[in-house]
Order: sequence, then structure tokens, then C-alpha cells
Amino acid sequence: MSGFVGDWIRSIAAAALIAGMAMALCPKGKVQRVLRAICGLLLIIAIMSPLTGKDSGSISIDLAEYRAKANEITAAAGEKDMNLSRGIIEREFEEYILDKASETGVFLESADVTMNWDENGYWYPCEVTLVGELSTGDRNRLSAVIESELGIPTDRQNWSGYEGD
Amino acid sequence: MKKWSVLPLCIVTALLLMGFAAAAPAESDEGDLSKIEEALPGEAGDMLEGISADDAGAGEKGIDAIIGQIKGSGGIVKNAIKSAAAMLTIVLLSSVIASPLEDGGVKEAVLLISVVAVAAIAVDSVNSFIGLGIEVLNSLSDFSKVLLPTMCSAAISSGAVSSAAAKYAATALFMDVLMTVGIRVVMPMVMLYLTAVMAGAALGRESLSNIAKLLKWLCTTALTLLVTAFTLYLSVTGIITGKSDEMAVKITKSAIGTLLPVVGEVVSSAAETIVAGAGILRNSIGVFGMIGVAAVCVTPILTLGAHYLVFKGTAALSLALTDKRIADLIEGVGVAFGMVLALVGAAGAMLFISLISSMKAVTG
Repeated sequence: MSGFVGDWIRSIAAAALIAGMAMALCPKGKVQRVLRAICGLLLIIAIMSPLTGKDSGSISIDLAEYRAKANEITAAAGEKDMNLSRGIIEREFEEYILDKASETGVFLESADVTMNWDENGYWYPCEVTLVGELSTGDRNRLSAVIESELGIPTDRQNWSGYEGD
Repeated sequence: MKKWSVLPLCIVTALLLMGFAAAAPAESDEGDLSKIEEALPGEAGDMLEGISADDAGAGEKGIDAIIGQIKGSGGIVKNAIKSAAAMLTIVLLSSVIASPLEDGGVKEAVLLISVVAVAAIAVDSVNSFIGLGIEVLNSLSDFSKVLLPTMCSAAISSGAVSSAAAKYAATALFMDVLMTVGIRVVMPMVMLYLTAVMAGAALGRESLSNIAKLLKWLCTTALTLLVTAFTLYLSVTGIITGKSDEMAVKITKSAIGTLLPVVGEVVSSAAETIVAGAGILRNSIGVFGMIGVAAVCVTPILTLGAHYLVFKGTAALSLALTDKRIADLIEGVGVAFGMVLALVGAAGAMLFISLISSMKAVTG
């Protein structure tokens, strides 16, 4: 900082010296009054010169940089939340299907739900893979529940291990 | 410096908020919280040692640690009194020597020697405190570079997508501007102010005192304008972007409402879980961030504040003992401490305001 202060004080001193010389050489009268105003302005500019170091151009660039950084943070947080919410929703649907199977007296080994992202900002179930040894009747009953309650059509329900295979 | 009386109010509000908002994060992001703990600079890190950001009582423990630091700050006041005592000794000696003398050359020479002696003591302490001020600004800037993005990320997850990003950009920019103005304008102005005060005391020129007054006014006005502009910008941005966040949440809710009941329930319950967890995390970061900022600022503010008050008192005592010029010089040195104090306070206040604003954002 001392280097900067030295430069600053030197610029004020130089401005004061120039102003003093000009005032000394100038004849008294209206011209000197005008010159005094100009010299005062020169001194103010010299005093305020550190402010011009951070000019408006660089401030606007900084704002753009910070906005870009904010966008990066927003994107990273959005991606993290999307993954988190996808995991939670997948788990919830899988548990829901297993509970429904259990309620209807059917043993299902696993249910693997695949999610799709809706442009309105949420995940929805689009496909499911079910593993269990089920009779055709049980499979159809459970399949109908999954279609009516979760909206996954039968053609996107993949069954494996049931006796109809 | 009266304008800076809002600072204690700001700190009290923040401390009250800490008390209400402190809660353990249900799904705390350990990585984010430990990054903030590690980013605390030296003395502040030692002060808050053993306090974890995910601790439910972090706010209370932090306040206790800061109060403990304030209680143990007797040495700071003693140091200020030592400098003041040295100045008062010079004032007394000058008064004893000069009082029997007739007005004229010898008396003027005694006064001039006294001014030079007082100025020598003043320059030494002010130089070290300007260094302290710059160090605090750098510490706050480094801490904010870790704290603000983490706070922004948590606030975005809690639903304040546009407002958190806008607040982050505004705070980071204003901190940058404050750092630049502080180091490149205010600090040199404090030195120039001191030079003008000393020259005014030595030469007894009214014009130099007027220049000193102008410099003081420029410093306080620049800082006041900067903090006011920051607060206004943050408030206006918060209102505008807050509405846009509310609208986005409503659109998503209405879209979820068109889903099958079971699907809608699961999707909205997952969203609520994430928002609630992020909200708690946001509060934990905010509380720990405020404690961190307070811990960084407390010792420098106490040091500068103690010197400011002691020098003001010394100036008042000196006025009763010796020439007004010496009393004005001592008061001027006190004001220089006040200017550095105002700069440190402004940086701390800006971070406090930003954190409070991010914490109180209500979404959904």
C-alpha cells in the first residue's frame, strides 16, 4: 500500500506545484480567479484519483463475473437438488409398489422405478422393472394398480420371474 | 461517526436472529459446513474452536465465546490508556513550561515541540491500526469468498433460486468495491487527514483544519453511501427476485397438482423434504457465518473503539490544560481511529446484512 500512497501523494504534490506556479505567473484579476477555479478542480481530481482506479468499466465487468459465478452456483445447486429429489422419489415409489404388492398378498422381490424430468420442474415415474414369482392373475392386478395410481402404462412395466415368463 | 451508531443495532438484531434461528440441520451438508469452519481466519478460528456449524447451540456458544473475548479485553483498553497517558504527560509538561512564558517566539517553539511529540506518538499507533484495518478487511473478504457461495447454494436449494443468486452477486460486488475504496481511498485519506491535522496543529492554520474536515466528511460520506446503496440494492433485488421465486414455486405446484394424486403427493413430499433440509442448512450457515464475522471483527473493533474513546477523552482533558491546537491534534488522532473503525464496521455490517437477508428469505 505504501507504494500506492507514495504515488498518490506525489500526484497531489505535482498538481499543487503546477497550480502554485500557474497562480504565481498569472496576473491578478478575472483571469486569476478563473485559473484558481481550474487549479482547485485539478487538485480535486488528484485527490480523487484512487477512485478512478476502480473505474465503472471494471466494476461492471466484476458484476458480470459475479453474476456468472452466481449462475454456476445456481446450476450446481440445481443439479444436486435434482439428483437428491430423484433418489428420494425413486425410493418412495419403489416402497409404494412393494407395499401395494404386500397388501394384495403378493411377494415381490424388487421394484426398480425409472424417472423422467418434466420441464415444469419435477420428476415423474415413467418405467418400472419388477422382479418376483407371481401368477398371471396377481401380475395383472398389481399392473393395473401401478397404471392407475402411478400412471405407468403396462407397456412400460417390465416383469421378470413370474410364472407367465 | 454518529452515523455508525446503527452498527450496534445491526449486531444486536443479528445476535437475536442467531438465537432464534440456531437449529441443527436435519440433513446437514457436512462438506459445506466444514469448509466454512476451516475458512475462519487465525484468531477468529481460535476463538470459535470447538464450536461446530452443525451444532444446534452454535449461536449461543458463539455468542458466549465472543462475550468471553470482550470480557478479556482489558489489555486493549490498557494499551489505549498508555498512549493517552504519554500524550497527557507531554501536554502537562508543555503546559508547565509554557504557562509562565510571554506570548511570542519561545512559547510558540514549546508548543511546536509538544505538537511534534504528540504527533510522533500518534503516527506510530495510527500506522499500526491502519495495518490492522487492512488485515481485517482482507480476512473478511477471504471468509466471505467461502461463506457467500455456500450460503447462496443452500438458499437456492431452499427455494430462493433467483433471489439467492442476485444477493450473492450483489454482496460479492459490494465487498469488492468496499475493499477497493477502503484500501485505495479511505486508508490513504485517513493518512492525509492525519497529515492535515498535524500540519494544522503545528502551523495553526485554519485552512488546514478545513481540509482535514473535508477529508473526514469525504470518508464518512463515501462509507455511508456505500452501505446505504448496498442495503437499498439488496432490498430492491430481494423484493423483485423474491416475487419471481414465489411465482416459480406456484407454477411448479400447479403443475404437480395436475399429476395423479399418489404421484403428486410423493413428488411434493420429496420437494418439501429437500426445501426443509436446505432451509435448516441455510440457517446453520447463516448463524455460523454471523458468529464468524463477529469473531473476526470483535478484537479490531474493541481496539479501535477503545482508542477512539480514550483519545476523545484525552482531547477533552487536554483542552483544560493546554493550547487548543494540541487538544485538536489529539482529537484528530481519535477521529482517525474512528474512520478506520467505520471502515471495518461497514465491511462487517455488509456481511451481516447480506446473511440476515438470505436467512429471512421466505419461499413457497
